[in-house]
Formats: sequence, structure tokens, C-alpha cells
Amino acid sequence: MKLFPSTGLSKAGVLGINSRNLDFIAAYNPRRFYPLVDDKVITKKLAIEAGVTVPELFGVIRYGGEVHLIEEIAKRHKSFVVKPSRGSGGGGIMVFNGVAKAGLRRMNGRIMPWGDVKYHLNNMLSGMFSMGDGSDQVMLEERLVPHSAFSKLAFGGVPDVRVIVFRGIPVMGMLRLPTAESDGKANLHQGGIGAGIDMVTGITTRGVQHNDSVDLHPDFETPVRDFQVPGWPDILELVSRLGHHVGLGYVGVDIVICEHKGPTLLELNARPGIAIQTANLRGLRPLLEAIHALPDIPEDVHKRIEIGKANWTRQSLERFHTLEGDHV
Amino acid sequence: MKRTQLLIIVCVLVASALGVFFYKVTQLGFPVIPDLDSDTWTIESKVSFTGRGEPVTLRLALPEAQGQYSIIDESFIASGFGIETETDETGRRAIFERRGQDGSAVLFYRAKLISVDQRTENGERRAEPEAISDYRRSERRRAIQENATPLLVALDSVLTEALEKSAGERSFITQLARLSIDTNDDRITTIIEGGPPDIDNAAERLVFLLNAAGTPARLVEGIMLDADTRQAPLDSWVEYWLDGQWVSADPVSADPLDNARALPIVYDGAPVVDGDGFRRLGVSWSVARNFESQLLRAMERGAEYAPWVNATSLLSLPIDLQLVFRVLLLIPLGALIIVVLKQVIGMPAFGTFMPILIALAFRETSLLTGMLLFVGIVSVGLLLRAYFNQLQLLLVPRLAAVLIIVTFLMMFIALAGEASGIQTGLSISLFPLVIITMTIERMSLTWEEDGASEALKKAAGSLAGAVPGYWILTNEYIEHIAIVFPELLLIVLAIVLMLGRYTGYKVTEFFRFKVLARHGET
Repeated sequence: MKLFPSTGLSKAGVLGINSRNLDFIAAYNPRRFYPLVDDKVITKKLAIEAGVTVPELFGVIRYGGEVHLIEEIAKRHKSFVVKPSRGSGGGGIMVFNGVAKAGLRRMNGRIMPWGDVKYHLNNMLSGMFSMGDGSDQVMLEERLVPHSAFSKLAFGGVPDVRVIVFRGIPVMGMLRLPTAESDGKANLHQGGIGAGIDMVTGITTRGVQHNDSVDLHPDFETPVRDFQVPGWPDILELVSRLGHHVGLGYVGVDIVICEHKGPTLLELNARPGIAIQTANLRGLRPLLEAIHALPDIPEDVHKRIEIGKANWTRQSLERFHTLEGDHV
Repeated sequence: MKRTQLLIIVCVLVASALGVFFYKVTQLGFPVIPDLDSDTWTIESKVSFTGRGEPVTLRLALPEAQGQYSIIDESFIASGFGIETETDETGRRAIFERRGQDGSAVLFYRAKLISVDQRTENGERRAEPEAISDYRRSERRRAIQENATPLLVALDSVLTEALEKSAGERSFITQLARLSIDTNDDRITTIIEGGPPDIDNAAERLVFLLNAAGTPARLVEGIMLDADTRQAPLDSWVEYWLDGQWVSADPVSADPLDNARALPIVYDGAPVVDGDGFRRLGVSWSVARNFESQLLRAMERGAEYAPWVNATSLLSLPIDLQLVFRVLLLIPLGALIIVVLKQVIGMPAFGTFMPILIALAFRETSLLTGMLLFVGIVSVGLLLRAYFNQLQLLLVPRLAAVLIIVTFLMMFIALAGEASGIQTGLSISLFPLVIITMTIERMSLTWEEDGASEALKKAAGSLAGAVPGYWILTNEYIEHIAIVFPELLLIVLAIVLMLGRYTGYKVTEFFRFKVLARHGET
């Protein structure tokens, strides 16, 4: 159902929230698969099944009585991340890189007293940062060290790559860079920078902050465009493999490129946002519709990546229709 | 497939709604527009009590059959009770009797009233009542000469002063009322001490003084008919005889009240309900402005030609239920507004139906006071919430603490409102506590995580959404349509269902993606 006449937006192929929800999420993501991506502990198991690199899980705190476990884990691992298992929008995530007598050291060098740490864990356990109602668990995870290529592009946090995967085919990607303003978080609505990525080459095309075009990272004055994302072929393989494996047709895959481990899965998102279109200055709809029209999807991950690249350059996908024989 | 199913459902809904609507309008003559000037009212009295297994006698005061209002129809619902009515000088009452009543029972009395214009009523003047007092002028003079008690002297002095300062009966009464309320005046304290009991109350004192001055006056307890309400309070005022008729007047200033609004029930402090054989007595009065006679005629026609119309009409419900539905039926429209604001416009707001709940709360307080109260309570709550956060409390106890503080805030506002004479204090009792608490919690979370601007934007969005909601929930025309033609709500359902399949852009997305619209691929 439409209300507004044909406009610049529809000509540009912009995907709106309503259409995303009905035409893609409701149509392609069966509700029963949601817990697989909403609960990060389950996602991690699933990713290991699919042969995808994940951050190591140091421990899970389930109840208030287990909060003291953080002291042991902190002593053993020094550097780690706490996050709510069913968190949304990056809420509640906290990164520590050292232990002091009084508490834990945060990335900005300040010591967070034990009392505050435990209070924060309790808030997470009571579901303050989580989707839905009720309690949650807290995951204690390996802190991923970003690839050295990002040293002049990410301020005080870990940059990540978000790729929209539709029917196992990578559709559109963006690099998210934390800034001083976003307080080390890579989320766009908090002031992070989003940079569109050419799906074929893995080179960034442009950057946006708060919906405005930016060419330089505000904290380093380094250019955010024409940057080669390291390990791009591996990223494409990871997202495409995982996107196919989870059973969700329309999914956002968030990846951190780790200095030591290479592309590593951060999380999956069953309702990926639509800001990626501004970062790429490109509408999602035509790309998605071409894949929607495919009668069947090849099992081979490399074939799917090939389709994704062809789709990005707006080639006709006709030639892929006959790949697996029986189509209507 | 889904599309065609939906289209069929929508068409069926719209067609049946319009079918019933047009039948009611064209064939039965139901009015589409309410007659807001109509001055007929329905009042309903609900008496509940618990019997002790003994014979029960219960006397309920009824509105006067003569006076400014005439009763065109009245009925009792009291199964198992014998009912009779009697009239004496303190008013009319119904007597309910039963040999043995065990457990709780509820009795109803319902009356339809029409305002009668006194001046055109037959033109005949009713016999002037006599002032009831032992202190009338002639008797007072004699009494003072015989025995000058302080009471008589004080009374004489007050009445004389009022008489000297006035030019005519009307201003005499005003002057007397002005003197009567001044309890620092020694003469008045003397009168209070020496006069009959209970005249330390301003209203009773005025009645006493007026009667002493020879102006017939009486104390009235009754109901002011000014708005639809399920809990009409019993007001008291005074009536005095002026220019051949009883005038209802304010008990303190003696200024005349709107006679067309004051419905007397009992006079001179007589009890509204009394009797014996029961305990836990509760009486409540509901008042509703009647739909105009056109509607009554339509209902009669309906009873004849299409009994199903009346059977399914909300107007056949008892008034206190009708009054509930007058609000309830508007909620679907509020929901429609939310759907449009969220799906088509893309307004940011806390929670899904928060704006409409806020609007419902504003209905009790009026828009401006509601807004001020809301902003005030939420900002104080935010400050406290920030402080509680420093104390490191767990989530649920912290919410509970904020809830309790909000309760106290509302209590203080009510007390302050009462002290400064602003009536809004009373109506905030229905201001939903939990909604405010949740708003505070969500707002402070958004504030911490996404910054102040995002939190304020959402708060403003919630309030802005409440404005159209408030307008709908208080519009008399919409209320009339909703209660007379509830079938039209099926159309609202149809629109909501259609919007459920809306895949177009939200208005906010035109701004969000305007760069793309300019530079995007073609």
C-alpha cells in the first residue's frame, strides 16, 4: 500500500523502514529464528558450527550471585569486554584492558571501582540494556584488537564492518568508525562515521556522520574514503557463509577485523538499520529486488559472492538463474 | 494472497459500517450532529449496602418533581424490595423495604429531567412561603424591649447595618452575606454562640440571618448539573425567596447560581439516605446530559421498526456504563492517530501507545495544566532518578522508588492546588503514575545512552502526539458520533488494517534520505 506519489526517494530506490519490515523482514525472517541472533551466546555457537571465527568466550554470568566471578576472569585475562547477551544497539557494552587493586581499567585509562563494575553487571542482569522484558545474562569476552590499518581511523574504540546479507548473498556494506563524539562506539546514531564500501573491491567510497557527508575523520583528519578494508575477500566469505547458515533471509552481519585473528564475527542483527543507504549514497531496494527475483540460491559460497558482486555493479542476474537447473 | 484477503476484509468492514450508519441516519433519523444546547439530563443514583438479615427500611431522597426541573420519567431497579414514594416539607423520598436482606444489595434510581422555564410557567405566582424564625423584626423589637440579650442586640445591629447599606432586597441579601462571613466581627461571634446550633457553618448562618430578617431561606443539598460524571459530588447551597421565586445562591457570597444547573435533592440538612437494618452504605450519583429529543424519537422509531438497533445501542446501558464507553470508544481513534504518527509520519516517541495514554491523562486535567504537570513531574523525577542511580540501586527497586516519589509529588501538587484554590489538584488523581514512572526511566536511559537531544526529541514527540489525541478525546462531536454510531469504528479498524500493510516511506525518511533523493542512482 502506498500513500505518497512517486518521489526522488523511490526513484533512488531507497528502502524505508515500513517496507523493510514488511517486504523483507516479515517475509524472509521466520520469527522462530530470532532467538538465534538476539541471544549472542547462541549466535556464537551457530557461528562456530558454520566455521566462522568468533571472539573467545571467557565466561557467562547468569545471576546476581555470580557477579564476583568477574574478579577471577579479570585476573586471568586482564583485557576483556562485558556485554549483555541479548543487548540491543550496543547498550551496556564496556571494555576493560587492565586490572588494578581498586577496580578495572577502562580504555580511556580511568579506573572503574569494583562497586561500579558490579552495579553495572547487575543492571545488565536485570535487563536494563536488553531487548524484551526481564533478565539477561552477561558475557565476558575476549577484547578484539582492531587491525593496525585502523590506527588512524578509529578513535577510542573498535571499528566494524556491517554487511547486509540477503538470502546468503552479500548486498551492501559499510565501515563504521568510532569518533570522540560517539565515545568509542561505532553506532551511527551516536555520532560514529559510516563509510560506504564498494562490494567488489572493498574500498570505501564516502563517509557520513549524522547524515552529513564527511571526507576526513574529525579526530585524526585522515581521509575516510578510498580506504582499502583489510581482508575484504575473507569478510565476504564469512558473511555469506553465516548469512546462509542462520536461516534468516535478511540479516545484518557485524564483523571486526582483528589484528591477530582476521575477520571475526561480532554479532548478527535480524533487523538491520537502513542508514547504510546514506553511507553508500545508494538505495537498497533495487539490489534486494534483483535477489528476490532469483528462483534459487546456489549452495556454493563463492557462487553467492559472485552474484553479490554482479548485483552491486547492477549486472543482470539472468545468467545465475540457470545455475542449479530446475527453476520455474 | 495476503493482499486480497486484506482487501476483502477491509471492504466488508467498510460496507457494513456504512450500511448500518446510513440506515440509522436516513431510515431511523439518528442525528449526526449533537444538539449541544439541549437541556435534558439523566441522573442516576446507586445505593449499595450490606444487610444484616434483618428487615431493611431505606429512605432515599429524590429530586423535587416541581422546581426548575420537571421529571419526565423515573424508574427504580430494586428487585425484591417494596417501593413507595412520599413527599413532605423536606422533600420527596423513596422508601425501599424488605423483610430480610442478607449480604450486599444495590438499588438504582434513574430520572430524566427537563429544564422548565419559570417565567413562562403558567404565569401564576406560587404562594409566598413564610420565613421560619423566632427572630423576625416585629418579634425582635418586642423581645429587645423585654429582655435585651446579647444575641438579640447583635442580631439587630447586623440586620440594621445591612439594611442601611443596601438599596432594595437584592443588595440587602448581599450585604448580609458579606457581614455574615466576617467571623472576626464580635456581633457575628455572639450570634454563633447564642444562636441555634450548627450556625458556625457559613451556609447555615446565612440561612438563619435571612430568616431572621424576614426573607424566607433554606439550606439545600443537591447536584450541580454541569458535566457528565460518574461521581457527581453532592453540593450544598442556599435558596432564598426573591421576587416570587426561590433563587439558588452561593452559600458564602449569596450570589445567585445558575438556576438551570442546580438540582435540589434535600432541604435543611435532611439526610439523603437513612433507614435501618443495614451497614456499609454507599451512595453515588451519576449525571449525563441527555441526547436531544431527536435521538429519543429515533430510538422509539428503532424500537418499532428495527429492534436490533436499540438492542445493540450503547444508549440502552445504565448511565455510569455509558459514561465509561464514551471514553472507551474514543480510544480506537487514538490508536489510529498513533498508527499514523508512527508508521506514516515517523514521529519519535517513548513506547508505542504512550502518547495516547498521556492524552487520556490530559483529559482529566485539561491540556495546558496537563502539559505543565507532566513536564514538571517528569523533570523532577529525572533528577531523582539520576540521584538514585548514584546510589547504585537495582533496576526494579529503583523504578519502585521513583514510583513512590512520583506519588508524593502528585500529593504535593494536589495539596498546593487545593491551598491556592486551583481545582486541578483533584483531577490529577487519575494521572497515571506508572506511565510517568516508565517515561522517567526510559527517558533517563535514552539520555545516558544517546544524549540529551535524543531524549528531549522523544519526550517532545510523545507530548506532541498527545495533542491530537487530546483533541479527539475531548471533542463533543466525535464523542457523539462514537456513542451513537459505534459501527463507524469498524472503518477505523479497516484503516488500521490497511496501514498494517503500508510499505511506503515515512515522512521523516524524506528528510533523512534527502541526500539520496538528490544524488541517488537513477
